[in-house]
Amino acid sequence: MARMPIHRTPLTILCVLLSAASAEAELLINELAPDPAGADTGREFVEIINASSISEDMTGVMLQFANGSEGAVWRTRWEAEPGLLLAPGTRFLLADRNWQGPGQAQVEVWLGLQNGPDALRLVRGDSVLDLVGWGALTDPELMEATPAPSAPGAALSRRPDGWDSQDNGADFVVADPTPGWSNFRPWALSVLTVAMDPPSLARIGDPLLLDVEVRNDGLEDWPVTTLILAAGQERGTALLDACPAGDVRRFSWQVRPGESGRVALGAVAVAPGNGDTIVLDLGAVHVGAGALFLSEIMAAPRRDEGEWIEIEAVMPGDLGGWRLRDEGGEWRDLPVRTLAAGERILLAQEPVALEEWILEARARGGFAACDGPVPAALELAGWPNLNNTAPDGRAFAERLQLADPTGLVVDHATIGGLDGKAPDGLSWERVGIEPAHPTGANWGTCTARTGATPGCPNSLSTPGTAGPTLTVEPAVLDGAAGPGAVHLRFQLIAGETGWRARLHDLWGAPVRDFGGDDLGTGPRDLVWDGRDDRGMVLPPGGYVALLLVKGGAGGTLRRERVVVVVR
Amino acid sequence: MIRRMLVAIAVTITLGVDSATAAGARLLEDAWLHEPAWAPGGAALETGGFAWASAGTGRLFGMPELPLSALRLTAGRRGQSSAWSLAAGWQRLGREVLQVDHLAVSAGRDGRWRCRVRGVSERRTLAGSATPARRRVEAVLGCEWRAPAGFSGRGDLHLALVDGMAGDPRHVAPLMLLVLRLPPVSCALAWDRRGDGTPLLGLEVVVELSPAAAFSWRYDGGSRSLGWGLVLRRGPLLVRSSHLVHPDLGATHRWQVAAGRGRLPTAGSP
Repeated sequence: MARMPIHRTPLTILCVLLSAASAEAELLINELAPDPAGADTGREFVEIINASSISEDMTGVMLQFANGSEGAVWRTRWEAEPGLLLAPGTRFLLADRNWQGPGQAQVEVWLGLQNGPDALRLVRGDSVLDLVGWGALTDPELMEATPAPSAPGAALSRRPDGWDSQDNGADFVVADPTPGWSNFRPWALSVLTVAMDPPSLARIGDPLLLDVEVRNDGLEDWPVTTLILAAGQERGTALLDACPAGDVRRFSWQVRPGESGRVALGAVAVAPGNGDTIVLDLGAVHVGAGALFLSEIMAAPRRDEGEWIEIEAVMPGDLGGWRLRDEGGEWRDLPVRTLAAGERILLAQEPVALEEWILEARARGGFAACDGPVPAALELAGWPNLNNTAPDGRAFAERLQLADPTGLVVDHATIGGLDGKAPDGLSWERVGIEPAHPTGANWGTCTARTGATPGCPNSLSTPGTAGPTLTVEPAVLDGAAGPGAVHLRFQLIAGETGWRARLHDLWGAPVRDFGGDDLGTGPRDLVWDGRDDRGMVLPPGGYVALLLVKGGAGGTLRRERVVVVVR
Repeated sequence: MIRRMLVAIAVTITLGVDSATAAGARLLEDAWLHEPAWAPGGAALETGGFAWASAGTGRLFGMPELPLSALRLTAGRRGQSSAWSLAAGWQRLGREVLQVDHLAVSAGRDGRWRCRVRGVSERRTLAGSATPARRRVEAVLGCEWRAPAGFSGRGDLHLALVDGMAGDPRHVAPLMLLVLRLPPVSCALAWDRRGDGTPLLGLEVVVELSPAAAFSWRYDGGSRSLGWGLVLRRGPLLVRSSHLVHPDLGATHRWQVAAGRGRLPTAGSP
């Protein structure tokens, strides 16, 4: 049997075939699919190749199968008809009965292959022409040197076609099925992993960092290549390092999708050899509000009500197929239930204890803005215990992801990251469905007197929209009724490019810097919890909020001030 | 003279006052630290009884929501080397959603060595709810001195006896004032303290342009405001203005009119 050098190109393959021809004709099992995707019947196949330069008379050639659990007990699945000739370099496709796969099978027989450990061989009389074993085989009679791997949902393919080193483990790789034609194209790339940070985007224009791992599945070595990247209508480029055949490379891309909803991500590479366009599917990212969103999280309960998560519906719908997971955890199905628009559900670690806590809090008058029926707390199939401190190597303590029935992550919430986390006993609340403040946090510590608002409107959320002028809602931060917050809302209009905002006391000294952004027109919503830059609660009194709006040249276009009262 | 200044500073330290706190122009009369020598509160000597009334108005940072107003009455009698006086004043900041009412009464002896007792009561009305009044009682100890060539000065030290505002980290209380005069120029340095312990400095320079007009330049360290003012006097009528500009919040324009007879023994609000 022929042996090949490591460097594999079409030219070298041809050389192999020619060199093989110079010795003797060679029939090889070139590809097999013992465990195809879906039902095996009608999808299993075995591809035989004549890896020589002369025609091969296949008279007397048999394909035999052995079950690895039985040892070398060979059962014939097919025997070539007398006079069957296989031209040099051509393939012969043996397909399972009622063949449903692509390509035209030369013969349909009952193959009855199993998923491994098992073996196939080609024999003529007492002569074994080729032997392939796959799965966890140990019997040396069932394989050449080492077994090929199992290939659930895929095929085992010689790479390149006709390559035989007398070692099944080295000769075969798991690949997409290609019955009847070449196992590998000269130029091919496949996506191995796509990591997105964050897993979903709160609003249009937010940055998304893609980290993609690709493998050169072609037979040729890729030189340094410019990839054309697409996120919806947004375009970008990334360089793919030189990548020899079979090797893996990574590339990264930061993009700011310019549209909301499901935004498809992809990359296009142009093969240097033949100009073929290779399209890579990088999945999709969700931008903006989805049908459901995470509304409030209690990750560190002070009492025995347990951890809980509140989810709210933007539009009516069924929770069937929706899933939730914590960072690194398993996806967990949401309980089957239909929600009306604006309705909330509570997923609780201890549902009974949480309901008791809600009743007790209401009895104390804790939920002034929510006096409807107590929402039912539901269980998840296995509670994702929420981390409160960041493990080594992670920049945040916990991240919850909410995925729709298609698997697309439509919302996430990070705890203990750049935006901080709630102290023990206080919940982590969402401010708005979409953050009105592009650079500000959309999550913060609950300011309700009860420390949490399960099943009720969040303490950080107040209805209202931003107009062009600076407004304060509500006008008074009432500290007498417990921690509170006010919203400073405004809007940048045409020609205005950025803003900065600060809070001063009545002596003129700055007490709180709200920061700013240069992201152009649009509404902004700043939430102030009554604390200064050091996190200290400011005393009752009057304060002056200052807004400076900048224009394109960087100059101040308008300056607005408004009195904020803390009582 | 320098020795006396050093003595005054030493007295301040000896009395156990820690850091001074920042000035800050929140109320109407905070805008002025001292007056020209010929003004009612100036340094010139005059004997006999005196009585003055003043009224002022303005807008803090120019904001209509933060109007400033003030009234003050001062009366007393001055002898050859000292004077006794009684003063009462009311100042208001804001209206409707935010209102601060500030009442102050002081009485004492003035002269080369000065001693006054000053009581302050401040009540805030926040969104319609009146908060309990916060009171402060302080002793103001001071001295005046003269040196050759017309050089003179005075220093005041504010010692809190009762301070109901001490728990407010944002509140600014006076600590020390030092005034130096070399006609036609005088300079006042204020050292105040915020409730969180932050020291704040204020500086004012007054240039007497004539016996009836003076120009002032003022820096307020508490707010980093910078500005100027005018003092004009015609007979028993005195008008003064202040125009402090905050670097972020804008300008505060203040006006005050005073009328009366005789010369006041000290400067500043009661």
